[in-house]
Amino acid sequence: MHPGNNHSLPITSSTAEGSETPTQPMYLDYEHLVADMSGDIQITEDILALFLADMPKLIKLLNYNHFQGETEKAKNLAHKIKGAALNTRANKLSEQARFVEECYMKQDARHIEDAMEKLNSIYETTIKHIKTKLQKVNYNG
Amino acid sequence: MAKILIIDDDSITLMKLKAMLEQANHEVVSINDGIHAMNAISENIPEMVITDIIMPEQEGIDTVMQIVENYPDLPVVTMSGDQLGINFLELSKSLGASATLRKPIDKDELHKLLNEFF
Repeated sequence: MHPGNNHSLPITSSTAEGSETPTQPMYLDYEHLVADMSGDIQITEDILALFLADMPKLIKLLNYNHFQGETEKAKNLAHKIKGAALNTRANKLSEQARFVEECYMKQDARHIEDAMEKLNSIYETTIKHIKTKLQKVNYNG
Repeated sequence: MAKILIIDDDSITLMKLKAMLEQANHEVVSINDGIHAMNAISENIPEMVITDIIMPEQEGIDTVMQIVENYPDLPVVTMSGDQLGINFLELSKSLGASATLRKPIDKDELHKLLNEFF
């Protein structure tokens, strides 16, 4: 299944961060995350800060194991990234990690390289969105 | 207020779930693998365990089986994200899990589940 066909993830109804179309999952659904935490901005920020601290290690490990041909480890890391991103409401990254996990499960060598490249790109953009959001939140007090 | 042990190898999920449970006035102990969780349970039995299913050190399914065998009255809730391949949530229920939760954890679903037990 292509990520664009997966409707199990929340679909955005707004373009809060400015670069997504209404039918695409958001890089960061901040409002949803705040709602998850019952409006507690401090814990929301803590979760985003933990994401910024943890996710680079996971992405680095995934790329390393992918490069080394350690498919089982890579699949497990894609699964972990999918879950961590989903709980952070980094929906676009979660969806792409799901696609990578699926490629590994199906041993889909034809799509895995493109899927990994896209995952890395989405990851970089997600990090930028989160940093921007944290700066805005802190600026607005 | 209940004492709840949560198990997940993902620190983000642990932080988020812990905060959600504490907001509902529960006392939470969080652990990032099933092996240490069994030690923690034996030292201080909680009133509920919420565990992820797919973890590297010890799969949540194994943890569920150990809890069901050793602490048959202790409610165990399993959680998992969207599933590729085997339906681990259904499998965990067939092995004795009391309930299941889908990731990402939905606040209302979590509260509804807690109300059923406490």
